[in-house]
Amino acid sequence: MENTNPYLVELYDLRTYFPIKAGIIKRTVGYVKAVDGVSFKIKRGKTLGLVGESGCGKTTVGRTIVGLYKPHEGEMFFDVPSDITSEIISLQNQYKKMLKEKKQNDEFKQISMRLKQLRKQYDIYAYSKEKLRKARVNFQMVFQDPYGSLSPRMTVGDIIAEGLDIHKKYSSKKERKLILQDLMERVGLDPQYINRYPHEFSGGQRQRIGIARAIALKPKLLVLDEPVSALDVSIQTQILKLLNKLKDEFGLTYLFIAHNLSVVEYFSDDIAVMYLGKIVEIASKNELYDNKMHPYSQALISAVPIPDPERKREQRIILTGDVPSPINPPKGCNFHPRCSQKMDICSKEEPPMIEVSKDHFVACWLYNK
Amino acid sequence: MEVVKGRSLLFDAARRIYRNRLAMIMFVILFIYILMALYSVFNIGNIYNLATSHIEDVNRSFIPPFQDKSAPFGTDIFGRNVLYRAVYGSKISMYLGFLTILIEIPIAIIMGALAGYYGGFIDDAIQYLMSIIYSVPGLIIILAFILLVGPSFLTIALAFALTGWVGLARVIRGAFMQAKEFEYVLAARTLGAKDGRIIFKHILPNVFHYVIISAILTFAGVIMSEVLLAYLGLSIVGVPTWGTMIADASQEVSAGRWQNFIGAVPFIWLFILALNLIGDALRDALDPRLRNL
Repeated sequence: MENTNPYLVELYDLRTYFPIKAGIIKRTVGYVKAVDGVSFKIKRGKTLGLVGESGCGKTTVGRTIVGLYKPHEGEMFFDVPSDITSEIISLQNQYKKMLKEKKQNDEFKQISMRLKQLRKQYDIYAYSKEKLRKARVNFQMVFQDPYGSLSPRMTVGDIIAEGLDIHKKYSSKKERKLILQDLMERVGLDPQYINRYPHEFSGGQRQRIGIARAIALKPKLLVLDEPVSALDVSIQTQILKLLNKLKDEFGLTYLFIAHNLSVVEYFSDDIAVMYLGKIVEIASKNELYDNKMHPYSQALISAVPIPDPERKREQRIILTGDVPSPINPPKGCNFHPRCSQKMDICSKEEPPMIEVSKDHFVACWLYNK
Repeated sequence: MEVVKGRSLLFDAARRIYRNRLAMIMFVILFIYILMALYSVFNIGNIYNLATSHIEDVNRSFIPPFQDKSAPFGTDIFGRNVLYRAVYGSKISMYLGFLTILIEIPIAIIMGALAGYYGGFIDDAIQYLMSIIYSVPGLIIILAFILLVGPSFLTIALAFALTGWVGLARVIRGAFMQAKEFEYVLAARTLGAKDGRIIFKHILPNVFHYVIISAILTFAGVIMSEVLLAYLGLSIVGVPTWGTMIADASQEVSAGRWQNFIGAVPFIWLFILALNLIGDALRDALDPRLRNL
């Protein structure tokens, strides 16, 4: 049965915390709240760009999505029909409400049973270890550092075939070699270098190896964690073009994590802006660039250099102060200590996600009606 | 289609060692020791008898060095040829060294890898065990163990291994803790690799140079410690070892009998020197950071 849900990935209220331990008995004294309540959906066959400054939790979101980190809280539905996800979410809300009201009756038990059962079946983070391991075929990742992401003691062929070896995707040595040759050609590597080692390649070529490894299992979702930020500008374009080509060839969906806004603008369909572990604004690319609403997005986009001396730039917004610590984030809106349009409510209550126009969400009290 | 052969890091390392002249000389010396050990293992020219049997002739006792052509280092109190005893000693040292490494390295790898990779409770438990072993002087554990079980190859090697694994295990633990956050390890996890595959295929090959270097230095350490054991009268009995020769020499030298001394000391000295210099050369050659020098 074809899944008609327009969204491949649905992420609800993701929280990934890292414990801080201290003392001889390793007591947990606090948490680094790297990702603190992130929800978004990625449309099938589209690219969602995730931007934000260093340390805001972009990479952690990416790694949690591919299941490298176990989140504290949150659900991720991957390729699940929309009626099931909405059922789980409504059950979840009922469950939380009843928990708050301390209603421990039969209905509560029923709901929690049903919820547990559904989550085990559909929520990636409730999967058993073995089920998750098998499901990993569907979502892969391309890493940031082309030097650190390839084991220096394995040949290029073995690196690319790692996923095929793990999931036994071939029946003979010959078939393995044919798949490898095909993959290498698709990412623009000469197949005769199959027995070479990573240190014999340039940065751009290594990133191609990393891409080949990620697409070898024919995933549906590819998380690109700053795939071009470590490369020369001329190579960046080549890699981005390659990624666009592969997207069509394999029918991929991308989550593109970056801090370079020009690259994100070129590459994405939708853009989410992140600040200190939270999404502050999410919209389609054009909508966001033309009609940015959150004060942080405005400041971020005004900082992009414009490669045209004739064009008059908009007033650049200079933010004051530093990013607060994710160990002890500010009360209310995370951005309020640096915001120029701060109101009373900002330091008291966390802003909800407000839909200002269709598919344009912003988490800011300024737009609350 | 012609496939280009890649240069592995190991190949690079071998080439760098080959260029290091001092290391090559030391490898030749090591090779000579191995030949001497094999000579003793196959008992060529009945070396075992020559090295151990008592000759019932008082005139053959304590022949000074460099006087008799058949015994260039002289003979000991029983008229046994010191050179043969020293040569035979290299077999004992090799046996003991290899046996210790064979026991010690797997313990160290398993403990270090478990502690470093899994962390948490497993790490705490292994760390406490290591701290306890480390805080008791190694010699006391070794002596107690040998006195309890009796000296033999296996017990001595076991005693060395059980006290010696801590150092290497700590190094491996640190290397694993670092490596498990490397992107190529995360990539393997994303692909669905199980823990065993990640530990043995992705992390261990990249920290194995620590193991090789540590093995060689352990080898040298074992030979030195055997001397100490022999001095306390706890080394293997019935066969000539460098340790027992030096223990004998310690009493004879004051009486002007330096045959045993001149036989054993250069043998040990050269062997330890060779092992240490080879260890240094390997460290330089295998360190990925020094690759392009």
